[in-house]
Amino acid sequence: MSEPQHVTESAGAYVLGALTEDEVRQVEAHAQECPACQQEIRDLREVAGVLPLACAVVEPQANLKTKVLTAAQRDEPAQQVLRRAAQRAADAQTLRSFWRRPVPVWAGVAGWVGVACACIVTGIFIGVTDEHARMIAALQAPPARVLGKVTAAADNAANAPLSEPRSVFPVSLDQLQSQAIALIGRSQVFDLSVRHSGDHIPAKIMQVPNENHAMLVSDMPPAPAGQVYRVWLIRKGKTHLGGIVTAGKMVKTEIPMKVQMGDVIAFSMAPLNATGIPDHFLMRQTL
Amino acid sequence: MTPAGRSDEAILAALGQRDLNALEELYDRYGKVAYSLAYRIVGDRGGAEDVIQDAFLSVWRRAASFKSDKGSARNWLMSIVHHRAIDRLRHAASSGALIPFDELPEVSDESTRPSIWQQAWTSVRGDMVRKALERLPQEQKKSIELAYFSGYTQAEIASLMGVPLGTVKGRMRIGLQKLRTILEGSEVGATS
Repeated sequence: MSEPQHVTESAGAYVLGALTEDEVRQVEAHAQECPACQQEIRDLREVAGVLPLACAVVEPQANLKTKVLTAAQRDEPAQQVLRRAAQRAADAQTLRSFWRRPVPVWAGVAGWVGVACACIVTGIFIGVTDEHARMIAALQAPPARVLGKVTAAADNAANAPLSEPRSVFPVSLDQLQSQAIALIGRSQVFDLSVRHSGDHIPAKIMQVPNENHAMLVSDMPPAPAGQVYRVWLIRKGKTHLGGIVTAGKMVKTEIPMKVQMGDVIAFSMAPLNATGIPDHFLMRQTL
Repeated sequence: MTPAGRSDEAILAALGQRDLNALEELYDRYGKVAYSLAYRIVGDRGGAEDVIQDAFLSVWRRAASFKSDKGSARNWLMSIVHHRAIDRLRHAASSGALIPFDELPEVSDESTRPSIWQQAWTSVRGDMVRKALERLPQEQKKSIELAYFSGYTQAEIASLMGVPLGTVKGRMRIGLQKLRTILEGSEVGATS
């Protein structure tokens, strides 16, 4: 039996963040099984932990603390927000159906049973269906209607009125199919999915090299009546509108900007005719 | 030893219960050091602010999963700040916007006034760490700084310094071990 390949000689580089992702994986895989290497890493990590103190002290702006605390205060696990939104949407839909026209009692009962079955089937579907296949199907479908477009030349287009369509992407089915294949094969994929306590909201962003737009593929819970989800891209302190995200099924949304590491992707929920950047976001993740 | 108040681990435990006061306490304790680190790495105020906001929000969300047997709470926070800042720096570097780490300006801002005691505490420790780094052989110090503050990989450092990869690995590891020995001999230990 051969001796294990210890990673102690890479431990310094590991704690200093000087390894590539592959090298990190190798070190971590070994260290998980090797108490000696674990100890070496732990010791060196403690030393590396004092390095921040060597930096020249720079005072942050006074309002940074407020920003941090406000962001935390507004932060709720995304799935809680989305679940509530879905519940509100379902409630609102039920009330509208109930008051708009009289329905026989049997029809109402059947309706409720139908809704219940649909919920169960949808839940099972989301739980067990091959998500990858659904995403591919969404990629091949026509794009969701795009009401806003952000270009590199108009970075602050987030303030443009959403009720005035600025651009609709003219994409043919052939283009979409080939695009889907290209996306799957060559894209840089960022997973924004929310998974918690059995909930699963699939959401991925794909960036094809040399393309000036990215693709969000997501399956958001239904939004309350009159409300829509929007996806936003935050870069270097500027907030850009990515587009309106159709909810209730797996869809793709074209984001008319390249996404890149370090970007923050956020979702908001607001009336269709809302303008400007929202006060807070439902979900906010750094790529 | 930490400044007056509850321990870092107690703060993280409270954070796990979504205690906003605990987040404020954590920020008061480490916000300035964390910001200084982020600023040293990314080189601009806006970028450093983004890093700090993301890092503290990440701690807010993940505090319940913190395991003290993996290291101290302070190191956990700083490693999150470091990773976020390096990610940002590497992206900036790939866009051709890299700012050399040793050309960053030092900025003093009177917009906030932390307690004198805390300022002195941080300052004394920082001075000791800087002096300890100065006592390392130059090539070890440089390797550590290029990796930690400038985000270079070990292969890139080997190429920059014109030495074999194994040499760089050794310099980083031995440099850190030596730093520990120096700090343990001073009033500020690596684990304090």
